[in-house]
Amino acid sequence: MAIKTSTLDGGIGLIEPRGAIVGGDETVELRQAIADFVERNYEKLIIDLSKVTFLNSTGIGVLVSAQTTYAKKGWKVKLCGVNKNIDSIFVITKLTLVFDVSGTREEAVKSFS
Amino acid sequence: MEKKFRKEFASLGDIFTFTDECASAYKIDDAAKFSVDLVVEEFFTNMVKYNPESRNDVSISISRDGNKLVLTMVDTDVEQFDVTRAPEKNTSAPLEERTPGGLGIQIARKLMDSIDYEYVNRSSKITFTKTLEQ
Repeated sequence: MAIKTSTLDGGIGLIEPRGAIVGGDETVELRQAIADFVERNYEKLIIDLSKVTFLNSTGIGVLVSAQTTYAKKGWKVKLCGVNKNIDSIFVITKLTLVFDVSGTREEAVKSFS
Repeated sequence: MEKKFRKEFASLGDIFTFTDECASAYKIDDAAKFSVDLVVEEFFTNMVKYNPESRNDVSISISRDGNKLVLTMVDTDVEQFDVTRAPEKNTSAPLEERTPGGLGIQIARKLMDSIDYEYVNRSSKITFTKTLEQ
């Protein structure tokens, strides 16, 4: 499994993808993991990217889709553990203005309260 | 350095091994290597997805001349698609107004200094250049 999911205190869903998210099975798993948390009415979601080594435009599209879905419901999704290379992609695509990014998972959890 | 790859998603592992070898040989730093990997991955994936009529190998070459990196990708026996004419994606638009697709080309435009396209004898050749830190 390229994706690990769990729940945290405070009704927070946590998704930890790992490796490269480039439009293959791992991307399908990520999309499904997000959909599962939506279906279970987890209004707070953290996607921890600290173990993601590579992210292409398809992977970015899944994150954008998560953000759109959550925002439409008035729910919140936060990203954390974004490495320098992936952050540079967020900057040039201006997604830093769209995503709510925390440095660490602990900071992301704290920002929900 | 130049190498040919079977036109299928499974080639991506070999392609990244090739870019690793080029990065070592040409002393390409991590940030530039990430840019090369991202651009190669985006465009190779597009070739697999959108030019399925040809199963010919895709040729990828990477060279360095001083502080200039040149990346070339050649896809043969395909229809013309001039990537340099792809419309600019409005990355400032609100999320709900954004349309899928085209983000890979947009990223390549930002990461590379230039993108050139040539179409001769049903061969598409895309050349990217990037100035490297000395």
